[in-house]
Amino acid sequence: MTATLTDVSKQYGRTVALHPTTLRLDEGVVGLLGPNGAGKTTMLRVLSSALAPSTGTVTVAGHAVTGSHAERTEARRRIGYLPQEVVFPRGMTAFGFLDYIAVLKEWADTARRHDEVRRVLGLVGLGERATVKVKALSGGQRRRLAIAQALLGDPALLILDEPTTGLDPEQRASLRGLLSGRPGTVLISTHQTEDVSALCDRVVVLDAGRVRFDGTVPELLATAAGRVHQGAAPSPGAVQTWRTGTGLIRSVGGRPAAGSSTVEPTVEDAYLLLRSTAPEGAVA
Amino acid sequence: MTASVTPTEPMLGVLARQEIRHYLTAKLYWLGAALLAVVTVIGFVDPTAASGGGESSTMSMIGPAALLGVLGLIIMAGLTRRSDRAAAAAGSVAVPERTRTAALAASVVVPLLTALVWYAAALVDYQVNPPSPSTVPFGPFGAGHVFAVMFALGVVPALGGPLLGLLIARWLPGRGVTPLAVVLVVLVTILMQGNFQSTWRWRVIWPWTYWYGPLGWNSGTGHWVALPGSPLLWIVYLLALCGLGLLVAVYHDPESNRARLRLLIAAATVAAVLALVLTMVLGLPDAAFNPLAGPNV
Repeated sequence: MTATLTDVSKQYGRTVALHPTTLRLDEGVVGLLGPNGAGKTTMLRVLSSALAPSTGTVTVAGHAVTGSHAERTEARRRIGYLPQEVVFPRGMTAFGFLDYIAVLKEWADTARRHDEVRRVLGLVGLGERATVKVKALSGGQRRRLAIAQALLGDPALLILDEPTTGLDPEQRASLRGLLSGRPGTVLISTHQTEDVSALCDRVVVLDAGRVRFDGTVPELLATAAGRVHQGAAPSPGAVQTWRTGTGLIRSVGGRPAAGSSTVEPTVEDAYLLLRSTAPEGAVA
Repeated sequence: MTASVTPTEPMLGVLARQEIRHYLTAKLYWLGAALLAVVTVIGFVDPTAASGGGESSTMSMIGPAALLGVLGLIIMAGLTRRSDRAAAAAGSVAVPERTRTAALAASVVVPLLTALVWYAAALVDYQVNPPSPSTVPFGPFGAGHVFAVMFALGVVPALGGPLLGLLIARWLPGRGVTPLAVVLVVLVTILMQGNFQSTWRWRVIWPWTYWYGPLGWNSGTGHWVALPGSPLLWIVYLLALCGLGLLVAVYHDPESNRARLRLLIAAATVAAVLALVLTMVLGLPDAAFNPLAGPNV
Protein backbone atom coordinates (compact mmCIF):
# COMPACT_ATOMS: atom_id res chain seq x y z
CA MET A 1 0.00 0.00 0.00
CA THR A 2 1.33 3.39 -0.97
CA ALA A 3 0.00 6.82 -0.20
CA THR A 4 1.33 9.86 -1.97
CA LEU A 5 1.03 13.59 -1.64
CA THR A 6 2.11 15.45 -4.73
CA ASP A 7 2.62 19.21 -4.51
CA VAL A 8 -0.03 19.35 -1.82
CA SER A 9 -0.58 22.67 -0.12
CA LYS A 10 -3.21 24.12 2.14
CA GLN A 11 -4.04 27.76 2.75
CA TYR A 12 -6.53 29.28 5.15
CA GLY A 13 -7.13 32.72 3.75
CA ARG A 14 -3.71 34.32 3.57
CA THR A 15 -2.17 31.88 6.03
CA VAL A 16 -0.23 29.02 4.49
CA ALA A 17 -0.61 25.98 6.74
CA LEU A 18 1.17 23.63 4.36
CA HIS A 19 3.52 24.69 1.59
CA PRO A 20 3.62 22.56 -1.58
CA THR A 21 4.74 19.18 -0.29
CA THR A 22 5.51 15.94 -2.02
CA LEU A 23 5.70 12.81 0.09
CA ARG A 24 5.46 9.11 -0.58
CA LEU A 25 4.48 6.73 2.21
CA ASP A 26 5.20 3.04 1.81
CA GLU A 27 4.68 0.14 4.21
CA GLY A 28 5.97 0.73 7.71
CA VAL A 29 5.58 3.19 10.53
CA VAL A 30 6.31 6.82 9.77
CA GLY A 31 6.63 9.39 12.55
CA LEU A 32 5.65 12.97 11.90
CA LEU A 33 7.38 15.41 14.20
CA GLY A 34 7.06 19.14 14.42
CA PRO A 35 6.19 21.99 16.75
CA ASN A 36 2.65 23.13 17.36
CA GLY A 37 1.38 24.89 14.26
CA ALA A 38 3.86 23.17 11.96
CA GLY A 39 1.07 21.91 9.73
CA LYS A 40 1.06 18.29 10.94
CA THR A 41 -2.65 18.06 11.58
CA THR A 42 -3.38 19.82 8.32
CA MET A 43 -1.26 17.29 6.46
CA LEU A 44 -2.96 14.37 8.19
CA ARG A 45 -6.42 15.75 7.55
CA VAL A 46 -5.64 16.28 3.89
CA LEU A 47 -4.23 12.77 3.58
CA SER A 48 -7.27 11.30 5.31
CA SER A 49 -9.61 13.19 2.94
CA ALA A 50 -11.18 15.04 5.86
CA LEU A 51 -9.86 18.28 4.37
CA ALA A 52 -9.49 19.26 0.73
CA PRO A 53 -6.05 20.62 -0.21
CA SER A 54 -5.69 24.01 -1.85
CA THR A 55 -3.43 22.53 -4.51
CA GLY A 56 -1.94 19.16 -5.40
CA THR A 57 -3.13 15.58 -5.48
CA VAL A 58 -3.37 12.86 -2.86
CA THR A 59 -3.64 9.16 -3.64
CA VAL A 60 -4.15 6.18 -1.37
CA ALA A 61 -3.50 2.75 -2.84
CA GLY A 62 -3.81 4.28 -6.29
CA HIS A 63 -7.14 5.95 -5.56
CA ALA A 64 -7.23 9.72 -5.81
CA VAL A 65 -8.47 11.29 -2.59
CA THR A 66 -8.63 14.53 -4.53
CA GLY A 67 -10.43 12.91 -7.46
CA SER A 68 -14.02 11.95 -8.09
CA HIS A 69 -16.42 11.00 -5.33
CA ALA A 70 -16.12 7.33 -6.27
CA GLU A 71 -12.32 7.51 -6.10
CA ARG A 72 -12.42 9.32 -2.78
CA THR A 73 -14.78 6.69 -1.39
CA GLU A 74 -12.42 3.93 -2.53
CA ALA A 75 -9.56 5.71 -0.80
CA ARG A 76 -11.59 6.18 2.37
CA ARG A 77 -12.30 2.46 2.49
CA ARG A 78 -8.57 1.98 3.04
CA ILE A 79 -8.02 4.68 5.65
CA GLY A 80 -8.29 4.60 9.42
CA TYR A 81 -7.91 8.03 10.96
CA LEU A 82 -7.61 9.17 14.54
CA PRO A 83 -8.22 12.92 14.75
CA GLN A 84 -6.24 14.95 17.26
CA GLU A 85 -9.33 15.88 19.24
CA VAL A 86 -12.34 13.63 19.43
CA VAL A 87 -15.68 14.83 20.75
CA PHE A 88 -17.71 11.73 21.49
CA PRO A 89 -21.42 11.54 20.79
CA ARG A 90 -23.66 11.61 23.82
CA GLY A 91 -25.49 8.64 25.23
CA MET A 92 -23.57 5.91 23.44
CA THR A 93 -21.79 2.95 24.96
CA ALA A 94 -18.28 2.08 23.83
CA PHE A 95 -19.70 -0.77 21.76
CA GLY A 96 -22.52 1.35 20.35
CA PHE A 97 -20.09 4.09 19.35
CA LEU A 98 -17.83 1.68 17.48
CA ASP A 99 -20.80 -0.15 15.98
CA TYR A 100 -22.14 3.11 14.55
CA ILE A 101 -18.77 4.07 13.08
CA ALA A 102 -18.40 0.56 11.66
CA VAL A 103 -21.65 1.14 9.78
CA LEU A 104 -20.24 4.44 8.49
CA LYS A 105 -17.27 2.38 7.33
CA GLU A 106 -19.64 0.13 5.39
CA TRP A 107 -19.73 -2.91 7.62
CA ALA A 108 -23.20 -3.96 6.57
CA ASP A 109 -23.37 -7.48 7.95
CA THR A 110 -24.40 -7.24 11.59
CA ALA A 111 -22.68 -10.40 12.86
CA ARG A 112 -19.39 -9.59 11.14
CA ARG A 113 -19.59 -5.99 12.26
CA HIS A 114 -20.12 -6.94 15.88
CA ASP A 115 -17.22 -9.38 15.70
CA GLU A 116 -15.04 -6.62 14.33
CA VAL A 117 -16.11 -4.20 17.04
CA ARG A 118 -15.29 -6.78 19.72
CA ARG A 119 -11.93 -7.41 18.05
CA VAL A 120 -10.82 -3.77 18.12
CA LEU A 121 -12.16 -3.28 21.64
CA GLY A 122 -9.97 -6.20 22.66
CA LEU A 123 -6.98 -4.74 20.82
CA VAL A 124 -7.11 -1.54 22.85
CA GLY A 125 -7.90 -3.35 26.10
CA LEU A 126 -11.50 -2.20 26.40
CA GLY A 127 -13.19 -5.54 25.92
CA GLU A 128 -14.52 -5.47 29.47
CA ARG A 129 -15.81 -1.92 29.11
CA ALA A 130 -17.89 -2.49 25.97
CA THR A 131 -21.25 -1.81 27.61
CA VAL A 132 -20.11 1.23 29.57
CA LYS A 133 -21.30 4.64 28.43
CA VAL A 134 -18.51 6.64 26.82
CA LYS A 135 -18.97 9.49 29.29
CA ALA A 136 -18.20 7.06 32.13
CA LEU A 137 -14.82 6.11 30.64
CA SER A 138 -11.60 7.71 31.84
CA GLY A 139 -9.63 10.04 29.58
CA GLY A 140 -7.15 7.31 28.68
CA GLN A 141 -9.93 4.86 27.95
CA ARG A 142 -11.64 7.36 25.71
CA ARG A 143 -8.42 7.89 23.82
CA ARG A 144 -8.09 4.13 23.38
CA LEU A 145 -11.69 3.99 22.20
CA ALA A 146 -10.87 6.66 19.63
CA ILE A 147 -7.87 4.61 18.51
CA ALA A 148 -10.12 1.54 18.27
CA GLN A 149 -12.39 3.24 15.72
CA ALA A 150 -9.35 3.96 13.55
CA LEU A 151 -8.42 0.26 13.69
CA LEU A 152 -11.84 -0.91 12.46
CA GLY A 153 -11.37 -3.01 9.35
CA ASP A 154 -7.61 -3.14 9.82
CA PRO A 155 -7.08 -0.31 7.31
CA ALA A 156 -4.18 -0.33 4.91
CA LEU A 157 -3.35 3.27 5.84
CA LEU A 158 -3.58 4.16 9.51
CA ILE A 159 -3.27 7.85 10.32
CA LEU A 160 -2.92 8.71 14.00
CA ASP A 161 -2.80 12.29 15.22
CA GLU A 162 -1.10 12.29 18.63
CA PRO A 163 -2.43 8.89 19.66
CA THR A 164 -0.52 8.67 22.94
CA THR A 165 -1.95 11.85 24.45
CA GLY A 166 -3.56 10.90 27.75
CA LEU A 167 -2.16 7.36 27.78
CA ASP A 168 -0.10 6.10 30.70
CA PRO A 169 3.31 4.45 30.05
CA GLU A 170 1.85 0.93 30.01
CA GLN A 171 -0.83 1.92 27.54
CA ARG A 172 1.73 3.68 25.37
CA ALA A 173 3.89 0.60 25.35
CA SER A 174 0.85 -1.50 24.52
CA LEU A 175 -0.01 0.79 21.62
CA ARG A 176 3.55 0.55 20.32
CA GLY A 177 3.25 -3.22 20.37
CA LEU A 178 -0.02 -3.04 18.52
CA LEU A 179 1.28 -0.72 15.81
CA SER A 180 4.68 -2.29 15.32
CA GLY A 181 3.17 -5.67 14.57
CA ARG A 182 0.67 -4.64 11.95
CA PRO A 183 1.15 -4.65 8.19
CA GLY A 184 0.34 -1.66 6.02
CA THR A 185 1.30 1.96 6.45
CA VAL A 186 1.07 3.85 9.73
CA LEU A 187 1.58 7.60 9.92
CA ILE A 188 1.83 8.96 13.47
CA SER A 189 1.95 12.60 14.37
CA THR A 190 3.39 13.00 17.84
CA HIS A 191 5.31 15.20 20.22
CA GLN A 192 6.66 12.11 21.98
CA THR A 193 10.09 11.68 20.45
CA GLU A 194 10.63 8.45 22.40
CA ASP A 195 7.66 6.97 20.55
CA VAL A 196 9.37 7.82 17.28
CA SER A 197 12.68 6.25 18.27
CA ALA A 198 10.95 3.16 19.63
CA LEU A 199 8.52 2.60 16.82
CA CYS A 200 9.17 4.41 13.58
CA ASP A 201 11.05 3.18 10.53
CA ARG A 202 11.08 6.68 9.15
CA VAL A 203 10.79 10.22 10.47
CA VAL A 204 9.43 13.28 8.77
CA VAL A 205 9.99 16.60 10.49
CA LEU A 206 7.58 19.30 9.51
CA ASP A 207 8.21 22.92 10.39
CA ALA A 208 6.40 26.05 9.33
CA GLY A 209 4.45 24.04 6.78
CA ARG A 210 7.55 22.60 5.13
CA VAL A 211 9.30 19.23 5.35
CA ARG A 212 12.59 19.87 7.15
CA PHE A 213 13.78 16.29 7.34
CA ASP A 214 12.76 13.00 5.80
CA GLY A 215 14.75 9.90 6.64
CA THR A 216 15.28 7.01 9.00
CA VAL A 217 15.72 7.34 12.74
CA PRO A 218 19.49 6.55 12.48
CA GLU A 219 19.82 9.21 9.78
CA LEU A 220 18.09 11.75 12.04
CA LEU A 221 20.34 10.75 14.94
CA ALA A 222 23.37 11.11 12.71
CA THR A 223 22.57 14.81 12.20
CA ALA A 224 23.19 15.30 15.95
CA ALA A 225 26.23 13.06 16.33
CA GLY A 226 28.97 14.81 18.31
CA ARG A 227 26.76 17.77 19.10
CA VAL A 228 25.32 16.69 22.44
CA HIS A 229 27.47 17.00 25.55
CA GLN A 230 27.26 16.38 29.22
CA GLY A 231 29.32 17.94 31.93
CA ALA A 232 29.44 20.17 34.97
CA ALA A 233 28.76 23.34 32.97
CA PRO A 234 26.44 24.12 30.05
CA SER A 235 27.90 24.37 26.56
CA PRO A 236 28.14 27.99 25.38
CA GLY A 237 25.64 28.66 22.57
CA ALA A 238 23.67 25.49 23.27
CA VAL A 239 20.17 25.23 21.88
CA GLN A 240 18.89 23.69 25.09
CA THR A 241 20.49 22.77 28.40
CA TRP A 242 19.13 21.04 31.46
CA ARG A 243 20.35 19.34 34.61
CA THR A 244 19.87 15.61 34.45
CA GLY A 245 19.08 13.24 37.28
CA THR A 246 22.78 12.53 37.72
CA GLY A 247 23.46 16.17 38.46
CA LEU A 248 25.31 16.71 35.18
CA ILE A 249 24.21 19.28 32.66
CA ARG A 250 23.19 18.04 29.24
CA SER A 251 23.72 20.50 26.40
CA VAL A 252 22.28 20.16 22.94
CA GLY A 253 24.38 22.01 20.38
CA GLY A 254 26.85 24.80 21.11
CA ARG A 255 30.53 24.52 21.88
CA PRO A 256 31.38 21.87 24.48
CA ALA A 257 32.31 23.28 27.85
CA ALA A 258 35.60 22.36 29.41
CA GLY A 259 35.49 18.92 30.97
CA SER A 260 32.31 17.89 29.25
CA SER A 261 31.98 14.69 27.26
CA THR A 262 30.12 13.89 24.08
CA VAL A 263 27.11 11.63 24.54
CA GLU A 264 24.84 9.68 22.21
CA PRO A 265 22.11 11.93 20.90
CA THR A 266 18.46 11.03 21.17
CA VAL A 267 15.75 11.73 18.63
CA GLU A 268 14.72 14.65 20.80
CA ASP A 269 18.25 16.09 20.66
CA ALA A 270 18.33 15.75 16.90
CA TYR A 271 14.91 17.30 16.62
CA LEU A 272 15.90 20.26 18.79
CA LEU A 273 19.02 20.82 16.73
CA LEU A 274 17.06 20.62 13.53
CA ARG A 275 14.54 23.09 14.87
CA SER A 276 17.30 25.48 15.90
CA THR A 277 18.19 25.96 12.28
CA ALA A 278 14.64 26.06 11.00
CA PRO A 279 13.51 29.21 9.27
CA GLU A 280 10.95 31.32 11.03
CA GLY A 281 7.50 31.17 9.55
CA ALA A 282 4.03 31.78 10.86
CA VAL A 283 1.87 28.77 10.29
CA ALA A 284 -1.63 28.08 11.45
CA MET B 1 -5.73 -7.33 6.83
CA THR B 2 -9.25 -6.77 5.69
CA ALA B 3 -8.22 -3.46 4.16
CA SER B 4 -11.37 -2.40 2.40
CA VAL B 5 -14.92 -3.43 3.08
CA THR B 6 -17.23 -3.94 0.18
CA PRO B 7 -20.79 -3.29 1.29
CA THR B 8 -23.02 -6.29 0.73
CA GLU B 9 -26.19 -4.21 0.81
CA PRO B 10 -26.98 -0.52 0.43
CA MET B 11 -25.67 1.21 3.53
CA LEU B 12 -28.67 3.53 3.69
CA GLY B 13 -30.86 0.65 4.84
CA VAL B 14 -28.35 -0.49 7.45
CA LEU B 15 -27.83 3.03 8.74
CA ALA B 16 -31.57 3.76 8.70
CA ARG B 17 -32.16 0.74 10.94
CA GLN B 18 -29.55 2.10 13.35
CA GLU B 19 -31.18 5.52 13.42
CA ILE B 20 -34.64 4.00 13.91
CA ARG B 21 -33.23 2.10 16.87
CA HIS B 22 -31.70 5.31 18.20
CA TYR B 23 -35.04 7.10 17.87
CA LEU B 24 -36.78 4.25 19.62
CA THR B 25 -34.35 4.43 22.52
CA ALA B 26 -34.81 8.18 22.98
CA LYS B 27 -36.39 8.79 26.40
CA LEU B 28 -38.11 11.90 25.10
CA TYR B 29 -39.91 9.83 22.48
CA TRP B 30 -41.27 7.44 25.08
CA LEU B 31 -42.27 10.31 27.33
CA GLY B 32 -44.21 11.90 24.47
CA ALA B 33 -45.76 8.62 23.36
CA ALA B 34 -46.80 7.72 26.89
CA LEU B 35 -48.39 11.13 27.51
CA LEU B 36 -50.16 10.94 24.16
CA ALA B 37 -51.48 7.49 25.02
CA VAL B 38 -52.78 8.74 28.37
CA VAL B 39 -54.47 11.79 26.82
CA THR B 40 -56.00 9.68 24.04
CA VAL B 41 -57.34 7.05 26.43
CA ILE B 42 -58.81 9.73 28.72
CA GLY B 43 -60.49 11.36 25.73
CA PHE B 44 -61.87 8.01 24.67
CA VAL B 45 -63.16 6.92 28.06
CA ASP B 46 -64.40 10.29 29.28
CA PRO B 47 -64.88 12.73 26.38
CA THR B 48 -66.18 15.55 28.57
CA ALA B 49 -63.13 15.41 30.81
CA ALA B 50 -60.83 15.67 27.82
CA SER B 51 -62.50 18.34 25.73
CA GLY B 52 -64.95 20.13 27.91
CA GLY B 53 -67.88 19.05 25.84
CA GLY B 54 -69.03 17.66 22.58
CA GLU B 55 -66.18 17.92 20.07
CA SER B 56 -65.04 14.30 20.46
CA SER B 57 -61.54 13.91 18.94
CA THR B 58 -61.94 16.73 16.40
CA MET B 59 -59.77 19.11 18.45
CA SER B 60 -57.30 16.69 19.99
CA MET B 61 -54.54 17.24 17.38
CA ILE B 62 -52.53 19.44 19.72
CA GLY B 63 -51.51 16.23 21.53
CA PRO B 64 -49.62 14.46 18.73
CA ALA B 65 -48.39 17.77 17.31
CA ALA B 66 -46.73 18.72 20.59
CA LEU B 67 -45.77 15.30 21.92
CA LEU B 68 -44.57 13.79 18.65
CA GLY B 69 -43.88 16.84 16.49
CA VAL B 70 -42.26 19.35 18.83
CA LEU B 71 -40.52 16.70 20.91
CA GLY B 72 -39.55 15.02 17.64
CA LEU B 73 -37.82 18.24 16.59
CA ILE B 74 -35.70 18.05 19.74
CA ILE B 75 -35.03 14.32 19.41
CA MET B 76 -34.00 14.54 15.77
CA ALA B 77 -31.73 17.53 16.36
CA GLY B 78 -30.01 15.47 19.06
CA LEU B 79 -29.69 12.41 16.84
CA THR B 80 -28.25 14.53 14.06
CA ARG B 81 -25.63 16.04 16.35
CA ARG B 82 -24.81 12.56 17.62
CA SER B 83 -24.35 11.25 14.10
CA ASP B 84 -22.17 14.23 13.18
CA ARG B 85 -19.99 13.77 16.24
CA ALA B 86 -19.50 10.09 15.49
CA ALA B 87 -18.56 10.84 11.89
CA ALA B 88 -16.18 13.59 13.05
CA ALA B 89 -14.63 11.20 15.56
CA ALA B 90 -13.78 8.87 12.69
CA GLY B 91 -12.57 11.79 10.60
CA SER B 92 -12.89 9.99 7.33
CA VAL B 93 -15.60 7.46 6.51
CA ALA B 94 -16.91 5.98 3.28
CA VAL B 95 -20.56 6.69 4.01
CA PRO B 96 -21.19 10.34 3.08
CA GLU B 97 -23.13 12.91 5.05
CA ARG B 98 -26.08 12.79 2.66
CA THR B 99 -26.58 9.10 3.40
CA ARG B 100 -26.50 9.83 7.11
CA THR B 101 -29.03 12.61 6.56
CA ALA B 102 -31.32 10.29 4.62
CA ALA B 103 -30.97 7.60 7.29
CA LEU B 104 -31.86 10.10 10.01
CA ALA B 105 -34.85 11.18 7.95
CA ALA B 106 -35.90 7.54 7.67
CA SER B 107 -36.15 7.32 11.44
CA VAL B 108 -39.22 9.57 11.33
CA VAL B 109 -41.05 6.35 10.63
CA VAL B 110 -41.12 5.95 14.43
CA PRO B 111 -43.13 9.09 15.30
CA LEU B 112 -45.08 8.77 12.07
CA LEU B 113 -46.33 5.27 12.89
CA THR B 114 -47.11 6.43 16.43
CA ALA B 115 -49.11 9.31 15.00
CA LEU B 116 -50.98 6.94 12.68
CA VAL B 117 -51.92 4.82 15.67
CA TRP B 118 -53.20 7.98 17.37
CA TYR B 119 -55.09 8.87 14.17
CA ALA B 120 -56.77 5.47 14.07
CA ALA B 121 -57.73 5.87 17.73
CA ALA B 122 -59.03 9.38 17.04
CA LEU B 123 -61.21 8.10 14.19
CA VAL B 124 -62.58 5.35 16.40
CA ASP B 125 -63.25 7.92 19.12
CA TYR B 126 -65.04 10.04 16.52
CA GLN B 127 -67.31 7.10 15.69
CA VAL B 128 -67.85 5.94 19.26
CA ASN B 129 -68.31 9.42 20.71
CA PRO B 130 -69.67 11.43 17.77
CA PRO B 131 -69.08 15.17 17.98
CA SER B 132 -71.94 17.46 18.96
CA PRO B 133 -73.83 19.04 16.01
CA SER B 134 -72.83 22.39 17.44
CA THR B 135 -69.18 21.65 16.64
CA VAL B 136 -67.97 20.10 13.39
CA PRO B 137 -68.87 18.94 10.80
CA PHE B 138 -71.74 21.20 9.85
CA GLY B 139 -73.35 22.82 6.84
CA PRO B 140 -70.94 23.27 3.96
CA PHE B 141 -68.50 20.46 4.80
CA GLY B 142 -68.64 16.88 5.98
CA ALA B 143 -66.63 14.39 8.00
CA GLY B 144 -64.01 14.02 5.23
CA HIS B 145 -62.99 17.65 5.75
CA VAL B 146 -62.66 17.04 9.49
CA PHE B 147 -60.65 13.86 8.98
CA ALA B 148 -58.31 15.70 6.62
CA VAL B 149 -57.75 18.44 9.19
CA MET B 150 -57.14 15.85 11.91
CA PHE B 151 -54.59 14.15 9.66
CA ALA B 152 -52.88 17.42 8.73
CA LEU B 153 -52.63 18.65 12.31
CA GLY B 154 -52.11 15.34 14.07
CA VAL B 155 -50.13 13.07 11.75
CA VAL B 156 -48.13 15.37 9.48
CA PRO B 157 -46.41 17.19 12.39
CA ALA B 158 -44.97 13.86 13.48
CA LEU B 159 -43.18 13.93 10.13
CA GLY B 160 -42.53 17.65 9.90
CA GLY B 161 -41.31 18.27 13.44
CA PRO B 162 -38.43 15.78 13.30
CA LEU B 163 -37.53 16.85 9.76
CA LEU B 164 -37.38 20.45 10.95
CA GLY B 165 -35.08 19.29 13.74
CA LEU B 166 -32.87 17.59 11.15
CA LEU B 167 -32.81 20.68 8.97
CA ILE B 168 -31.95 22.97 11.88
CA ALA B 169 -29.22 20.67 13.21
CA ARG B 170 -27.67 20.38 9.75
CA TRP B 171 -27.41 24.09 9.08
CA LEU B 172 -27.36 25.59 12.58
CA PRO B 173 -25.53 23.06 14.73
CA GLY B 174 -25.07 25.37 17.73
CA ARG B 175 -26.32 23.95 21.01
CA GLY B 176 -28.77 26.72 21.86
CA VAL B 177 -30.42 26.75 18.46
CA THR B 178 -32.81 23.86 19.05
CA PRO B 179 -34.52 25.24 22.19
CA LEU B 180 -34.68 28.64 20.53
CA ALA B 181 -36.30 27.07 17.48
CA VAL B 182 -38.85 25.30 19.67
CA VAL B 183 -39.78 28.54 21.41
CA LEU B 184 -40.11 30.34 18.07
CA VAL B 185 -42.23 27.57 16.58
CA VAL B 186 -44.58 27.58 19.56
CA LEU B 187 -44.85 31.38 19.63
CA VAL B 188 -45.61 31.76 15.93
CA THR B 189 -48.01 28.83 16.09
CA ILE B 190 -49.96 30.55 18.87
CA LEU B 191 -50.21 33.72 16.77
CA MET B 192 -51.34 31.87 13.65
CA GLN B 193 -54.28 29.95 15.07
CA GLY B 194 -57.00 31.92 13.37
CA ASN B 195 -57.76 33.92 16.47
CA PHE B 196 -57.26 37.05 14.42
CA GLN B 197 -59.79 37.35 11.61
CA SER B 198 -57.28 39.19 9.43
CA THR B 199 -55.15 36.03 9.24
CA TRP B 200 -57.96 33.65 8.23
CA ARG B 201 -57.11 33.61 4.52
CA TRP B 202 -53.32 33.37 4.61
CA ARG B 203 -52.77 31.67 7.98
CA VAL B 204 -52.26 28.36 6.09
CA ILE B 205 -48.75 29.51 5.19
CA TRP B 206 -47.80 28.42 8.69
CA PRO B 207 -47.63 24.62 8.92
CA TRP B 208 -49.79 24.28 12.03
CA THR B 209 -53.02 26.24 12.27
CA TYR B 210 -56.57 25.42 13.27
CA TRP B 211 -59.20 25.07 10.58
CA TYR B 212 -62.19 25.26 12.82
CA GLY B 213 -63.05 25.65 16.43
CA PRO B 214 -64.78 27.71 19.00
CA LEU B 215 -63.04 30.87 17.87
CA GLY B 216 -65.81 32.75 19.63
CA TRP B 217 -63.93 35.76 20.84
CA ASN B 218 -63.54 36.80 17.22
CA SER B 219 -67.01 35.98 16.04
CA GLY B 220 -68.48 37.27 19.26
CA THR B 221 -71.05 34.50 19.33
CA GLY B 222 -69.41 31.41 20.77
CA HIS B 223 -70.44 29.57 17.62
CA TRP B 224 -67.94 27.27 15.99
CA VAL B 225 -66.41 28.62 12.85
CA ALA B 226 -64.79 26.79 9.95
CA LEU B 227 -62.06 28.80 8.23
CA PRO B 228 -61.63 29.09 4.45
CA GLY B 229 -59.40 26.86 2.32
CA SER B 230 -58.88 23.22 1.39
CA PRO B 231 -57.34 20.97 4.08
CA LEU B 232 -56.62 18.23 1.53
CA LEU B 233 -54.46 20.56 -0.56
CA TRP B 234 -52.93 21.86 2.65
CA ILE B 235 -51.71 18.32 3.36
CA VAL B 236 -50.04 18.39 -0.06
CA TYR B 237 -48.48 21.73 0.86
CA LEU B 238 -47.21 20.36 4.19
CA LEU B 239 -45.76 17.25 2.55
CA ALA B 240 -44.06 19.45 -0.05
CA LEU B 241 -42.55 21.46 2.81
CA CYS B 242 -41.30 18.21 4.40
CA GLY B 243 -39.71 17.17 1.11
CA LEU B 244 -38.19 20.62 0.71
CA GLY B 245 -36.77 20.50 4.23
CA LEU B 246 -35.20 17.11 3.61
CA LEU B 247 -33.65 18.25 0.33
CA VAL B 248 -32.19 21.36 1.94
CA ALA B 249 -30.79 19.20 4.74
CA VAL B 250 -29.16 16.86 2.20
CA TYR B 251 -27.85 19.90 0.33
CA HIS B 252 -25.63 20.65 3.34
CA ASP B 253 -23.27 17.86 2.28
CA PRO B 254 -20.57 19.62 0.24
CA GLU B 255 -19.83 16.36 -1.56
CA SER B 256 -23.40 15.89 -2.76
CA ASN B 257 -24.55 16.53 -6.31
CA ARG B 258 -25.64 20.05 -5.56
CA ALA B 259 -26.60 20.95 -9.12
CA ARG B 260 -29.16 18.14 -9.14
CA LEU B 261 -30.30 19.01 -5.65
CA ARG B 262 -30.85 22.63 -6.64
CA LEU B 263 -33.23 21.44 -9.36
CA LEU B 264 -35.08 19.22 -6.90
CA ILE B 265 -35.26 22.02 -4.34
CA ALA B 266 -36.65 24.35 -6.99
CA ALA B 267 -39.23 21.73 -8.00
CA ALA B 268 -40.26 21.16 -4.36
CA THR B 269 -40.53 24.91 -3.83
CA VAL B 270 -42.76 25.29 -6.88
CA ALA B 271 -44.91 22.37 -5.70
CA ALA B 272 -45.21 23.89 -2.23
CA VAL B 273 -46.15 27.34 -3.55
CA LEU B 274 -48.66 25.84 -5.96
CA ALA B 275 -50.24 23.70 -3.25
CA LEU B 276 -50.38 26.71 -0.93
CA VAL B 277 -52.14 28.88 -3.51
CA LEU B 278 -54.60 26.09 -4.25
CA THR B 279 -55.16 25.61 -0.52
CA MET B 280 -56.20 29.24 -0.28
CA VAL B 281 -58.40 29.42 -3.37
CA LEU B 282 -60.11 26.02 -3.23
CA GLY B 283 -62.18 24.36 -0.52
CA LEU B 284 -64.36 26.55 1.66
CA PRO B 285 -64.51 29.96 -0.07
CA ASP B 286 -65.22 31.85 3.14
CA ALA B 287 -65.42 31.30 6.86
CA ALA B 288 -68.59 29.47 7.82
CA PHE B 289 -70.32 29.68 11.20
CA ASN B 290 -72.18 26.82 12.79
CA PRO B 291 -75.72 28.09 13.39
CA LEU B 292 -75.88 26.13 16.63
CA ALA B 293 -74.28 27.70 19.67
CA GLY B 294 -71.09 26.01 20.85
CA PRO B 295 -71.19 23.43 23.64
CA ASN B 296 -69.53 25.75 26.11
CA VAL B 297 -71.80 28.72 25.55
